[in-house]
Amino acid sequence: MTATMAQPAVQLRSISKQFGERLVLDRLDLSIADGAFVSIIGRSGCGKSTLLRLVAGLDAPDDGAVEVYGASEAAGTSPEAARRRMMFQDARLLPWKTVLGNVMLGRPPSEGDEARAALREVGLGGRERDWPAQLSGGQRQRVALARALVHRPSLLLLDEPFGALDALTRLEMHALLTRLWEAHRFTAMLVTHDVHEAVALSDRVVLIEDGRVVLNESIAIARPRARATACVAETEERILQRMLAPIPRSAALVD
Amino acid sequence: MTTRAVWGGRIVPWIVPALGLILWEASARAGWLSARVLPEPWAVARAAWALLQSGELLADVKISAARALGGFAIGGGIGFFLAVATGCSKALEALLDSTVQMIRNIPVLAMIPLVILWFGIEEEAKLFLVALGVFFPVYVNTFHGIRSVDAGLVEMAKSYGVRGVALYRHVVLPGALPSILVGVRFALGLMWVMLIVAETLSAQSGIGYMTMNAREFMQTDVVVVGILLYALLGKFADQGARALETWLIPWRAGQLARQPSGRRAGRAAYWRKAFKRPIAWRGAKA
Repeated sequence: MTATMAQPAVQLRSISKQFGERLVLDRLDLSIADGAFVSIIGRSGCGKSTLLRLVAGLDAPDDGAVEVYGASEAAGTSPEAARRRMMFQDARLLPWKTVLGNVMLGRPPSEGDEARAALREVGLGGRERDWPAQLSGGQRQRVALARALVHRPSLLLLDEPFGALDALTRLEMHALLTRLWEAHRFTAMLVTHDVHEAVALSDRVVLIEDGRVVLNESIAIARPRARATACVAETEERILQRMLAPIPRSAALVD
Repeated sequence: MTTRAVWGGRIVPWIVPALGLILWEASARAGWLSARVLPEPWAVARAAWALLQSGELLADVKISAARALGGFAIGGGIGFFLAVATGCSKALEALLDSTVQMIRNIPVLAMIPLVILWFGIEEEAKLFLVALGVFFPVYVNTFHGIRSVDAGLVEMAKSYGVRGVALYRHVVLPGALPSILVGVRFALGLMWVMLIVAETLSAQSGIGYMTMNAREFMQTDVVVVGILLYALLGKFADQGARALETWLIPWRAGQLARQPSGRRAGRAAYWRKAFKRPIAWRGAKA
C-alpha cells in the first residue's frame, strides 16, 4: 500500500486488547487516511466494535498505540481537538431533553441556530420541540447524527448505527450519510456486519478476523452507487466469500 | 365517553362508600351505635363546621402542616444532598453508606424515648421525628437513582465533552429523578405518620392536640374530624407528589401517548383526572 503524504486520521500501531482470557485484538495495525470513509466488517465478536471504542477513546488498549490526527492519549496529547464523535448502535438520546436539547448537548446555548440547521440537514426540521419518545427508530438515529454534526467532527465513528432499522429506513440513512459525508468531508469509520452496507457506503473495506486485519481493500466504484449494478454485486460477493472461507492464521495479512 | 364507561368508571366505585355512610347514619339514629363509640356522620360534619367557624381548625391545620413540611424539608434536604454526595463519590460512599444503612435498620418509632430525653416534648422533638422518618426514603431512593442511571447515556455524554457539574445537571440527576420522586412519595406518607405520632405524644397545638384534647372531653365527633383531617392532608400531599411527577417528568412515553401537545396540556389533564379520582388515604407505609 502506498504511504500517503498527508497525516493519517487514525493510526493504530500493534494494538492488543484482552478481556479476561480472550484476546480480542491481536497486535492490529491499521491506518485510515484523512477524509476517507472506511468500513470495518467482520463476524460478530471479531473485535470490530472494540476497535472502534479504542479509537473513540472510550477504552484504552492493553498494548500498542492509538493515534488520532497524530495525538494519542497514551503520549499525553489528547486527541480532543480532533473532535472525534461517536454514533452508537442505539441512538442514546437523553429522554428528558427535547430533540433540540439533545442536539445542543455539550454546546453553548448560543449555538441554537447551528443545531436547528443540523436538524434540517438530517430532515428533521420542525421536530425540535418533540421528545425522543415520540420519534421512530430512524428518526432517533437522525437526531443522533445531527448531534454529532453540530460538533463539526473531523472523525465520525459509527458503531452499527443502522443495525436496528428496517430495510427501507436503512437505505434512506445510507443516502443521508453519504450526502453528509460528501458535504462535510469528515473521516468516517463505520463498523458493520452488513457487507452490502460496507460496499454501498465506503471507499475502503477492512475485514477483521481473530483480532487482526485480514483484508484491506479499496472500493473504487463511482458514487452514487446503485444497489444492483454488476460491479457492486461482484465486489460484495467477493468480500462475502472471503468472510465465509476461513484461512490459516499464518496467512493473515498485516497492513 | 359512553354511558357504560361513565357508570363503570365513576359511579360504581362510590357505591360501597355511600352505602357504608348510609348504614352508619342509620345505625346511629336507630341507637345501635353509641355516640361515644362512633358519632353519626352528620354530627362529625357539624363538629367540623363548628371548628371551622371558630377558626380553631384552620389554626391547628396550619401548625401541623408547618411541622410536617418543616421536618420534611430538613430530613429530605439532608437525605438528598447526602445521597448526591455518596452517589457521586466512591470514597464518600465507602465512608458513609454502610453507616446510613445500619442506622436505617433502627425503627424510627423505637427512637421515641431517646428523642424525648434529648429534646423533651417541644417543637424540636416533633421536627426531629418527622425529619428522621423522611430522611431514609429520600436518601435510599436518591442514591439508588443516581447509581442506576443508564451507563450508556453517561458514556455518550462524556464522549460529547459533557463533564463535571454539567454532567450531573443534564444527565445524572434527570436520570435519577423518577427514583428520587418515588422516594419523595414514600417520604410524604411517612411524614404524616411521624407527625401523628409526635403530636399524639404531646402537643399544645395542632391537629394532634385538638384530637387528644377532644378525647379528654369525650368529644368523639372532634376525634373523628381530626382523623379525617390527617387523611385529607395525606391525600393532598400524595396528589402534590403526583403533580410534581407530571411536572418534572414530562417526557414519559405513557403521558406522551395521551398528551402529545406538551407540558402545559399534560398538567391540565392531570388535574382534571386528579379531581375525578375519589379521595382515599394512601400515605402510610411505615
